[in-house]
Amino acid sequence: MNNVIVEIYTNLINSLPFEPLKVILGTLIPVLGIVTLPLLTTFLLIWWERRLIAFVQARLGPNRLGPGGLFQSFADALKVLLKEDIVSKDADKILFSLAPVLVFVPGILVYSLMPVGHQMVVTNVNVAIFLFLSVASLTTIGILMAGWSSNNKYSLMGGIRAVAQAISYEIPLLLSIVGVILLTGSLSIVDIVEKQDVWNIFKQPLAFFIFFTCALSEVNRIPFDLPEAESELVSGYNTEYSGFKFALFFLAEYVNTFTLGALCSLLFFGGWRFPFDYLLGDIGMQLSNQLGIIWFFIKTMFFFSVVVWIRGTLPRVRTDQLMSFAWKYLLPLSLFNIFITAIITGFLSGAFSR
Amino acid sequence: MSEVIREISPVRQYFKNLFDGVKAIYNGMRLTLKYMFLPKVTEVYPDVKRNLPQRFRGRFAFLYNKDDGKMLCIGCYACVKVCPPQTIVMETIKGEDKKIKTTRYEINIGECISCANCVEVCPVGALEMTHEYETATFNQMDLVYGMDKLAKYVEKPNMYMPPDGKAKK
Amino acid sequence: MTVEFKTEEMVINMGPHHPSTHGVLRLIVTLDGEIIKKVEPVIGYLHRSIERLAQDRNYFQYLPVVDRVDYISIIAAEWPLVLAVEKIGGIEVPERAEYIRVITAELTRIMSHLFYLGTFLLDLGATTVIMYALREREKIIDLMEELTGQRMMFNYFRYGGVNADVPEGWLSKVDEFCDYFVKMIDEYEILINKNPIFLSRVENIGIIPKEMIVEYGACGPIMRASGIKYDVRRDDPYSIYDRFDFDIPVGRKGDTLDRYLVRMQEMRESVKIIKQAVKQIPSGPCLKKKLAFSFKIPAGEAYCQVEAPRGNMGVYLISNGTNIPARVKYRTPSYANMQILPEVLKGTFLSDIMAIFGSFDVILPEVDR
Repeated sequence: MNNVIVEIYTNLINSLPFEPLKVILGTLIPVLGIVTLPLLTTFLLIWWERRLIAFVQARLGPNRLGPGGLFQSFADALKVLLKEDIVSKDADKILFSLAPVLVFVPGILVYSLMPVGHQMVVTNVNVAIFLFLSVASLTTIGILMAGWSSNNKYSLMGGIRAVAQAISYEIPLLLSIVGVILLTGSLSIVDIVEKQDVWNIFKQPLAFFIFFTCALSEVNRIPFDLPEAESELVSGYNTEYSGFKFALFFLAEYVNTFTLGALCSLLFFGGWRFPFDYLLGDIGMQLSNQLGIIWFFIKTMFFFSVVVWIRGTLPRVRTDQLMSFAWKYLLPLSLFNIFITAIITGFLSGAFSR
Repeated sequence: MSEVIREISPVRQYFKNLFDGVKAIYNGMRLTLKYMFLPKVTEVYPDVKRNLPQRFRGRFAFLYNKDDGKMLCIGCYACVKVCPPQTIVMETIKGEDKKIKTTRYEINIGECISCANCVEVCPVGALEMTHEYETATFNQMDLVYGMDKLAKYVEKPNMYMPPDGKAKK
Repeated sequence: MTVEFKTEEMVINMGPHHPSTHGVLRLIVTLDGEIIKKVEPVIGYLHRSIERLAQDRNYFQYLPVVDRVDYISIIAAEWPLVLAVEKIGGIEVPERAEYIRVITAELTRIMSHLFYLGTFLLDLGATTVIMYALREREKIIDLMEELTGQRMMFNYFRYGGVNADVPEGWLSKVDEFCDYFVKMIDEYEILINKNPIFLSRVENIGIIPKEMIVEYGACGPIMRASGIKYDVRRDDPYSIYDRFDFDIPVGRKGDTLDRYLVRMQEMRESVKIIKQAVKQIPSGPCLKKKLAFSFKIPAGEAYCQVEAPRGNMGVYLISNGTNIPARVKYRTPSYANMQILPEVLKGTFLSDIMAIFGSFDVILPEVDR
């Protein structure tokens, strides 16, 4: 069953008069899509986070500009972009300017691997999840670069913390996904989603818990926001940044958080699929295939909201405790999870083959 | 204080820590979730202004009699003497009828700390703290209030009544 | 093969403008990685010469100035001065005024502790508690505004009583607030007390032994958290505190968690005192005799202290018989408490500065005066 939107789009491209135009437009439109959509979503996300954190804290949040304050983030963006772009005197100017780009680009790049609906994926790589995580982890280099080049002690400490944190948390993050991969037998995200007749959360609750914790740490959100811990390091690695460069860091943070939510929904909550669509038969399949992008967006926003909710509840952990939490709790638990999953899947597949 | 500290094996301690932690975080998250749906306490300030209590000390006012338009001030300088930031500027002359007349009464609202000491010591009740509090200006010199800007016409003087159980007028 | 890396200590100037130094404290921190080698606090950025101002102003004129000594717990700064003047001048205070003083002082103690609670957790990274704490603080501020006319700088105490009697229905409002507030403390405790992240940040961090407390003359909740059961309200009773029944919470280890727990318990005790005071308050005047604004007190000197939210707040007053004080010296608790800071911070992590310094509840205007 084909997705109607994808079908219309393919027909449109194919009906173009000559071949080069087809190739150019066929590449350009998805690229523009993956660049603009996350950015536009970010404006929504910033507003939603501020509103939600205010609700948690018994406040109202931004509510004056537009319906419910929706345009507040546009005003803020305008304000940030109009600010002077300051580069401090002793900063390493090349790295200083390169760092925000290096933080921002991987965040956007991973959207090319992300299926947002049935057949709605830019590149269906067969090692997508692997590529996804390796590209996403490039962000850390950008953060270290920003911390180093700023020539500011707070920034440097923020950068160092970011790297230490990323090294510790990448391991349980990857290991927690191994469980899902074992169940699916494929590294392709599309395959992972399509095999989730029953959502993976019911089969891999522990893996989800570990994955969510590690991903929180990867995107530097409270309680793991050590690289930019406000009360300790002023603003961490982006202390010296202003104007457009700061905006890039800010956007990257939200894009990454959205990616977190997207990965959660893709790997554990059936991605674009309607809940229990295989039980509803044909209607369920149609719901999943045609309106997939809506379910995907709702699920992702739910996880984003959970991240904000956690931010409203928990204090920040300390560097050494962060490490000990990763190595003492998350790593053993994820290994245990792989062990159990491997045994069960092996037993099941073995039983079926004989 | 006698306390029995039970020895727990490290393995049990490990899982107990994990369980307690998750439970405490769950309780906290439930509380914050509850507040997400409860009414908010924010006052939407410029749209909705709160009710000021009767004793509110806002901007300072210099009182005139409503009936004949005469100032209540008798020029005794008591308010000048008790002003902690020493911001009241006052000038008086002796008129032809041998009565002291205040010719200049200036106060810098930016310096005034709204302590109401002056209102308390005024023997004739010629001063008042109004309920006006939005006194911000673009120009610093606009904060200096002269007699014309401080003027307020009232029916009876604003006498301070000490809470000494007597003198209830 | 081992390779020796040449490492250098890093010196960070924390403050005067830093998000979590509560005003304008400057800490010169020497770091080895994230571990603190040395801390040197630099104070004086908020000096307003409160003590010198007294020598130009008569007693009545000086009263609003002392509100600024400690802007979080205003009554605690007004009270010792009023006590000292009353002691030298032999001014009597009516019964009702004493009760009102106790109620307002305890309300401001809760105000101060709430502010501590919020900022302490904000320093630890929890953003929500400060909003909840300020919500309750706002309720107290509204009550005080109704009583005194001002939200922060009350200027409410007078020599020989208080400025004005309580408005109608105010006492019952205070009583209602107390009932409401006890429930709210329970809520904070659900949110904070057992949270594993919070506990790991504060447990066994910044332990202050009893001896160090005595040596440095620290006071208030910090002292009590280290296990010294001393409270000016009980051991050197001023006003009418000997009539109330309340406990003095004491910590066991003297770590950051104990300091937090002691303050939470103190809020409950304050509620207890307020409830008793509201029940017992007699009717009558609130000011024995209205003094003229240029009143004089005989020559002499006096030291009076009260239990401020942060410890013993004392005033040493020398009068030379005129209407202007010859010398006023404020003994402020934060100043004494802050001297321990370099000792405690040695060997802890950078993140612990916030936890420990936050738990000291230092208010910078009070340090610099």
